[in-house]
Amino acid sequence: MSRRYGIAPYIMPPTITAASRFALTSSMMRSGSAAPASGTSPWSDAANTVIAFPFVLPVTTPIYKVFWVNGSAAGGNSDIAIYDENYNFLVGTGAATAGSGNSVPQVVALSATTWLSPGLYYAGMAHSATTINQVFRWSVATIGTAIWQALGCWKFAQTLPISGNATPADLTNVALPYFGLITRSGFDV
Amino acid sequence: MPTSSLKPAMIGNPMSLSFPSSYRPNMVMIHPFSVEAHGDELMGGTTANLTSTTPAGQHGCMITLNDSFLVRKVWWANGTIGGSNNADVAVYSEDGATRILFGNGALMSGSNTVQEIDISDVLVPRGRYWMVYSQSGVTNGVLAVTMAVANVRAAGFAFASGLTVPIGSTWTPSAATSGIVPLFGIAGRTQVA
Repeated sequence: MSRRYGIAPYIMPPTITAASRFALTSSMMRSGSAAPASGTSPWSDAANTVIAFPFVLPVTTPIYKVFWVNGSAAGGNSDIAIYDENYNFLVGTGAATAGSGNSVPQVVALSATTWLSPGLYYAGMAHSATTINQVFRWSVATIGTAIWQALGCWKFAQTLPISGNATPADLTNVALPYFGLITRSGFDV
Repeated sequence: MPTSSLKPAMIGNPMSLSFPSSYRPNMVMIHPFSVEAHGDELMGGTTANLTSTTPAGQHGCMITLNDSFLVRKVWWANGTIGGSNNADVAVYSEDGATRILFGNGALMSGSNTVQEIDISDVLVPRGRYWMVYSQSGVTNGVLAVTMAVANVRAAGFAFASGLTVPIGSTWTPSAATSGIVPLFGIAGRTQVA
């Protein structure tokens, strides 16, 4: 049997979040933040704002669903969308979904299963409220928000549901929401 | 609302790639914290350390093999051994319908040591699989990380109830209700510990 290094398409892991090796990586997430948990809202300074992180795909990858992790007091409405490298809106769930189920992931289907070609993308999440404990998040309160900017994260004012292209601005909040994409069909998270 | 109209690449057709894939050979020991499993997601979701922990049922993680992997042994990391429990590790197809390999169970022995079961070598093709750990009881502990259940689920972990050894011929994943992530896995070499 011959090995096919560098030829066979890469098989993607079942989820992609900010901690993924295809996004900000766990080493960066652990460098200045505690584990994701409830606390100060990523939208404490402004609700109805998309907060996004970059990710890359080495192969064409299907995105079946998206999810976020509710906080200890789930509430508000949320939406998730995917943008291309030029901040053009590609796909979202098409609706603002009410948070339900404390401290558990909440899964929502995209408006259509989407096949993304290899390349750079952004995953963004918007939330309708500034209330604490509604969404799990990483927090970099101890080292400051420059790390989010250094990692390529951004924000953009957007009422729910998310639609239209983004005009990114520096992410100045200490918290990054815990949300992600699901690349497997059937069992999600 | 624009959606992608891009056609999917045909798996196994190297001519369909837009650019060379960032292929990385499998490691010789694959476990939940490996790159081949949920390593990045788990490490980004906890600051906990390994401690002796009794399992809550059958704990499963999804592994992605980007090349075929010859499994020579299955193994787990014993925690505190206080009684007579058996442990087992099994690998299933992504839909859980086919058990590809399993250790058939062994009496846990040796606190805070890695224990292995030698199996007839199985060549597992590239793909995604469930890798599952179970014990027959909760008298003994396994070295594990315990983290928020939500973070375990977000990493892609799954769970099945029942302390069963050997683990069954099929496996049906359900949402994890426990934040326990045991240290267990498969080995591509004869020497494990």
